Amino acid sequence: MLDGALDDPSDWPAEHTGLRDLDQLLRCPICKEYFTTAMAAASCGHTFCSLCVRRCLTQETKCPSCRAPLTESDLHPSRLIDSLLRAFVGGRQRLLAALSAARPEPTDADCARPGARRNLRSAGAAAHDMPEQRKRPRIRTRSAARTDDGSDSPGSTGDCIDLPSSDTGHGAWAPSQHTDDDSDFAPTEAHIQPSKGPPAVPCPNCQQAVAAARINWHLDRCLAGRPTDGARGGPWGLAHGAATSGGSAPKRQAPLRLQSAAAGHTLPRPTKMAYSLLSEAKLRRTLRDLGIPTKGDKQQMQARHVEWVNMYMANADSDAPVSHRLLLRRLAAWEDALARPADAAKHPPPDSPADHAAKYSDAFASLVAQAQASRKRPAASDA
Amino acid sequence: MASVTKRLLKELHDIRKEPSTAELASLGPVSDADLLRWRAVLRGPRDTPYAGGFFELLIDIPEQYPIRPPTLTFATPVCHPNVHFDTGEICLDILRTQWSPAWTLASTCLAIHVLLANPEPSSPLNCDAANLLRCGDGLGYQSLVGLYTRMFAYSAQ
Repeated sequence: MLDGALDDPSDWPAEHTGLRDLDQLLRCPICKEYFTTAMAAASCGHTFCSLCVRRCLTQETKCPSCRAPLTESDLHPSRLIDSLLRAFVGGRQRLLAALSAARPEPTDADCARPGARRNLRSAGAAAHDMPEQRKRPRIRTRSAARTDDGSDSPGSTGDCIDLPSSDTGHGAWAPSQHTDDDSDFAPTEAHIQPSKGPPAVPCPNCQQAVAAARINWHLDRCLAGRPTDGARGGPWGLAHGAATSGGSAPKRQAPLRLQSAAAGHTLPRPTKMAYSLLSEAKLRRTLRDLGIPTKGDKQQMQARHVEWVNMYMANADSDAPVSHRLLLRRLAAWEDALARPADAAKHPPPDSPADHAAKYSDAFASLVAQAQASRKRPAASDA
Repeated sequence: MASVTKRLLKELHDIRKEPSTAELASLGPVSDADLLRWRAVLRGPRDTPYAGGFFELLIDIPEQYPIRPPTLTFATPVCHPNVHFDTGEICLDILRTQWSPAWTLASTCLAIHVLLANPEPSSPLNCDAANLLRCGDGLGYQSLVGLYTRMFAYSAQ
């Protein structure tokens, strides 16, 4: 569901080890992505994505990091990590752009005089060290300025984390972003400004900048082809359901909200089962009652049920749960991906000697001809 | 994009930055067409009879990776108590019961590199090599391993 970009801790310039470490620490050890609904283990304190760790615990009730015994009831949501991540990811692209642009570029003062900058650059001056010293103070000033004007995100204290959500001109801290860059960012800025608080992320579907906290809700509507603007009243996670129930849904405590909004399209909460004790017919009935597909044999249904329980619970953990309709679509996508290896197995092993010989038969033939020709020549000269 | 694809691309991206290390000569997919089949070449650990050899590993990755472990087999014949000489099968707990999704393909290959230097003769797949170790014939073991390394592993790269 992400935008497909292969972001990685090593995207950060090598000299910023702190940012690299931060990026690394905000990633799940299982999927190596940023945490999606971070859950911490009560006993050992290791943190994972909710869905990742639930999938692991289905296989084995041990912490994937330290192998200490761990069950799903020992998992606790760490909302702080989710919030940190929202702030960090929201600013990541622009911080990266600013850092990489700042590196070969000179300082602000020189920027004001384009002529001077050109001279500096062509002279190959030691521009590499300068931004390093200047960047942090500059960024700090900005965040100080934000708190002064009473901006409303008390959770964000890091000096570089919430760069994108602040609204004073960014020319001051990113001297190298010229007019073209600015126009790229303009829509984002414009979109955020009204809400001012939460950082924005681009929607993977429509590319529109959306407050990170609302992205799941937005995506849900966006994929379903529904209008995504102005629906402030609708409960975030259940937007597709009975529209009449909209209005004042509580904004915290996802599981509670799920239950209270029960009617409409919400599907019943599944529980884990002892599959070996269930007959195929009974399992099929259970799946039908839960509202998930009932095709396939018992093994397939069992796998689907396990995944559904994990998906459902992970969604309930989230502070911005998605609709069950979208969740069902994800279940289908997961199943499609599992069905693929059969196709992959059809390919012959690519390194088989016969294939190799056939593929390069022309090259071999010409080599043989060359070798024969060069053997004949010395023989001819001897004679 | 399936989660396995995404994770493998991420690992590949990571490996591309440092494609060759003191332990791993290379690691990557066998072909561009199939991301679920990788090939690794290990360097024989220094100060062991494997030193100087290059050992090819084939890696089959299940669709449920990293929840399920990958399957690694030696393509180069290896004389080692925990490696089946004919099939290349490897007896290592982290490839079965002790697998953790926090492992990566690179770290798994590293574990096998360590296994080469630290044989565990009490759970053998190659009884002959294990017996040499168990009866304390270190010299015999070393020369047997050295022989097979020279026979099979010097040209594998």
